[in-house]
Amino acid sequence: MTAPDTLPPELAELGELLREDPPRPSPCWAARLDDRAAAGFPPPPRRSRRSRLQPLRRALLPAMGFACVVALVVGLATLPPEGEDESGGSGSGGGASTAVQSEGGTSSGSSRDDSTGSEEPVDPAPGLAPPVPPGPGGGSPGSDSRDARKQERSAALTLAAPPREIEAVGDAIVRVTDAVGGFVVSSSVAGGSDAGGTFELRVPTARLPKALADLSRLAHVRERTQASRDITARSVSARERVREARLEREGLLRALARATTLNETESIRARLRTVNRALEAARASVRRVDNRAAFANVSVALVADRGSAGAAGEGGRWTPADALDDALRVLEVAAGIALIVLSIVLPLAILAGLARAAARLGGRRRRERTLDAA
Amino acid sequence: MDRRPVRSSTVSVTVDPPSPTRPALDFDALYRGARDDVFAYVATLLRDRGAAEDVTAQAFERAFRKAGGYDARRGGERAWLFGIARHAALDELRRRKRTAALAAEPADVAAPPTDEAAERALERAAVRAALATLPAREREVIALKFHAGLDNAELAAVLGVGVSNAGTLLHRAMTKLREAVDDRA
Repeated sequence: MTAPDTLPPELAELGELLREDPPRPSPCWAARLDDRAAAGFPPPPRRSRRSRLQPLRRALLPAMGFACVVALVVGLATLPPEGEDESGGSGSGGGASTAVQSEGGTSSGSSRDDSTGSEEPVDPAPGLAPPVPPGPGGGSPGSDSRDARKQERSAALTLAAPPREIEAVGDAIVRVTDAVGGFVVSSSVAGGSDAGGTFELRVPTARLPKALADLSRLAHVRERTQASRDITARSVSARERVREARLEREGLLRALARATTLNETESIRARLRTVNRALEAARASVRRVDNRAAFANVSVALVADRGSAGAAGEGGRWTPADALDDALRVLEVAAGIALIVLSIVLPLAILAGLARAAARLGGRRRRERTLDAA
Repeated sequence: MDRRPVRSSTVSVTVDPPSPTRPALDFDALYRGARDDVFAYVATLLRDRGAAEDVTAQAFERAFRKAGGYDARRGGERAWLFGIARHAALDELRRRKRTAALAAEPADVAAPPTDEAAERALERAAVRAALATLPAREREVIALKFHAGLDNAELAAVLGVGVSNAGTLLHRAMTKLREAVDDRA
């Protein structure tokens, strides 16, 4: 069947009759509608505030939920990944966290062998700098006469400097150590992409505060930990052994003077040799304990501060290259955030589009069914 | 498309056919030119004058609110308006399930009481009565064509079918109307 815009004459005649006689609205209704149209179809009387807010609330709830998810994702995305920083610590990065760790024991008269030098390490507080070497000692420093007690002091510092300044800061650490009368036990400094270093220092205990202050000025302090250990008991024990060995030696010398036979003389001489060795060992032990009290161990970890590397170039100046690096980093972060947001929004948008299309299609089908049923 | 005089009891203006290049919608002119046509279409479809008045007012209000979103590239103004009216009428049908017969039109008191005029009036009444017996789908097509004055392209746009299909639907509906008139004769 063709579908012309014009109809056959017999049907066109019907059409003419229809055109002549359409349903017409009442003039009263038409006038009212004209008035409403002229007024721009004013809305009907306002509903209550509660009923007006109901759909808004319904619409806002998913939006607020979505905003929370986005905020959470953005927050997580902007956090630095764990382990990115070479310090590996949990410092805030904004300042040094100082932990003074003192321990005391009541191990006077301890029978430990000083010559081994082994001390039980003390666990530092979680999240602080690497543990300080000294272990438990005897007595609390403040519990009795401080002057008579021996303290072994130690400290650990983590310094962060731009990669290009690592070597200069390393040199400065050595200079500070020399200036306070200390010495470098061991050091290791690396440049380039893995820039960093470690220093094991011994500084006079009396000048430890000045040494730490000077070192802290060299670079940004990521972590700072101090500890002290009471070694009075070890000192007393070592000195007691020296005194006993001396007394025994003096007794042997007197016995030797009184000896009359060759066998007796040889026997006393043999015992004297043994006592002399014990005396020497006891003196060495005293020297070690005194040395531990006189010098503090300072561990310095020097790490590259990647964050400041982009912000400050050679000599701390901010160069166009640094600006370019910063811009690239900002773009990277922004692109990452955009990607995350897109990965959430895109599926939601697709689902919403499909739902809307389905709703429209469903509505249209319902209308058509209504027309068929009417 | 023809330039056609608009039937209106209050305003008599000639509405230009919608042009795809016209960016904005002249709602006032559209309202004045299509008010009675929309009412006629809706009344024929619903067969209820009261409901037709409500739905016509609702359709114009919806059109007024949506006038900013009108896109001339997607169809003419009248087709757009009658699409809105159709949705409103079908929503009303679905909601109220009204099937009341269209109230009889008042007699045209201004018509001359001649035999020829009386004969013509009888024919119109017979056609109107036959139209009321047709299913809603056929009534709708006929009302859009002869009461609203849409051409086949606009008819197709309103019904959401192809132009050729619209012509076929119209021809079929008119044939059924012819048969209904003949049956009642």
